Amino acid sequence: MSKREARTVAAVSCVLLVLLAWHFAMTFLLLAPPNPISLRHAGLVETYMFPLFRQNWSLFAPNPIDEDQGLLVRAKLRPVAQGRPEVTNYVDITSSAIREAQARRLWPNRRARLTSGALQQLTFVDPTSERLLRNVDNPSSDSGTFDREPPLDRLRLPPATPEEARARADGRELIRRLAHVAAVQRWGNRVDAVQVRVARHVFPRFSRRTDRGIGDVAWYDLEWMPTPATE
Amino acid sequence: MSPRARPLDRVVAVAADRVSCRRYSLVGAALMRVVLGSVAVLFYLANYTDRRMLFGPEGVWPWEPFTKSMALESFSLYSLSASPYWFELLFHGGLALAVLFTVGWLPRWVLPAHYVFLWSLFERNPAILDGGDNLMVLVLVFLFFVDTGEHLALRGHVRSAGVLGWSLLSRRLGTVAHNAGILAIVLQVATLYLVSALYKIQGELWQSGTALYYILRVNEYTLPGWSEHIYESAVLVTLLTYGTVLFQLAFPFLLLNRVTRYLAVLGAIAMHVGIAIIMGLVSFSLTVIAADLVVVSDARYLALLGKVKAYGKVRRRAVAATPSRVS
Repeated sequence: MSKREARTVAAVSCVLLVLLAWHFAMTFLLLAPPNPISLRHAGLVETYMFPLFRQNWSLFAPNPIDEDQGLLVRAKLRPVAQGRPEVTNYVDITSSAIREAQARRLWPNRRARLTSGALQQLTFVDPTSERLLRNVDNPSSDSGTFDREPPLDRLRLPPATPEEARARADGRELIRRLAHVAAVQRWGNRVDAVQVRVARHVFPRFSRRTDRGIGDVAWYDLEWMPTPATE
Repeated sequence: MSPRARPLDRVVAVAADRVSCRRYSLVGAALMRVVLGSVAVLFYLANYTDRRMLFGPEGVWPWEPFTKSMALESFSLYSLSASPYWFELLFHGGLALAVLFTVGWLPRWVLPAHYVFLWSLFERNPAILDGGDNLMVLVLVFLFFVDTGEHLALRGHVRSAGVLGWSLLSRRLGTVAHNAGILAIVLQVATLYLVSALYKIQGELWQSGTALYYILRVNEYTLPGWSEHIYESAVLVTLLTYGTVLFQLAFPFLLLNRVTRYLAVLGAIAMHVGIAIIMGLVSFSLTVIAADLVVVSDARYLALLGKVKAYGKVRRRAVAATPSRVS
């Protein structure tokens, strides 16, 4: 290499190193818990990282998921001729997709993710605002692993951030569509409105781990939602 | 370089040589391309029959709410038109690009297009994504700079004869970019492990060594007939829970040493094979393994290949030496 070429290579390397240092500094500030530096530069970090480098590695942490969730759907059917409108029984729309994913073990499709994904959006709470809320409720506890506030209570509170508002609206819309597709599949075109029950199977605590029974099942109902065709 | 060159020039020359004379991890980069490409191909295929329901304009996440929700801060080719033909074109085009990328047909040129199509598909229905999909689109950006076509490629590079003069410097600069890309991938994986360990150690159930029990019991992540035996054993649950946190925390530091580096990679592969089989998170596991593969040096891969070949030769000789019963 000539002197000039060596200098060019060295200069380009320096530029790339600076870029790498910048990128991973931003990545760290995005991923670290809120701290004095990340709070001061939150705007800059988000402008740079979103949407291309959006990431979140709090996988099953700090508190791992410790319950099964499922969606049950019932429908209001338009009357036949002069009859009355009917309301169907609730049917489970989650288990079959999960059973199917279990059967296609090596290459599961993503249909089984729809329930948990939609519920995650519906009950999404911004981690910082969650911490604040919890401190208001109970100033002495900060970790609160066994807090089992029903999500419905959370849903009654107004969303704390624009992200929460959007995730909640998207989650509700996705659940409505899921319920609608399932209802029409079962009950045909008479479906007029759908209602969704979110069932939660909370596992026995670790000390009772060999209890293979169903354990505690709790649920909450979302309000009746018009099907997309009848709006 | 003349012997009377100034000291600074000598330092610059040595440093420039060091970062631009050799492309590191060419085998690892090629393997990574094959694995990441296969994961994408299989994503398209596994969801092929459900594609209209999951991603289509009339599916569970119809075009209207999708464009309204996404428009603010992201981009997707799928938002350009609500036509079902456009949807089919993008989906099948994306599948074709993923195949071309996997087999290594001019990967440097195919990758950006593959990335845009895959990104667009992921944005089309974010509710069904996981950390593996997230890591996938992050490392694909770094792979833009990496030479993934040197090995295991159908047509790795455009071979242009001539254009002398321009070629030495440009090749050197390409090498610098390649090495920076490899470094970025390693840093991204190290960040992933470190951060997920730091979040875990804050959780009460991770501290008390019982977190794995709850996770393995979730119906989405359970392997019927096997998971029960793991999560009902107090010893296994505790060891696996602490082991996971400890390994993730140690990973970035294990990379610093040449010997422990291989321990990190083998440990990561073992952990993710376990996650794939027991928890059914196949694409997630393969994506993280793919990103780990660039940590292993080319010399090590070639030595490994040599051993496999030698073993094969010994076996063939043994088979040939055994008298055949038929004759």
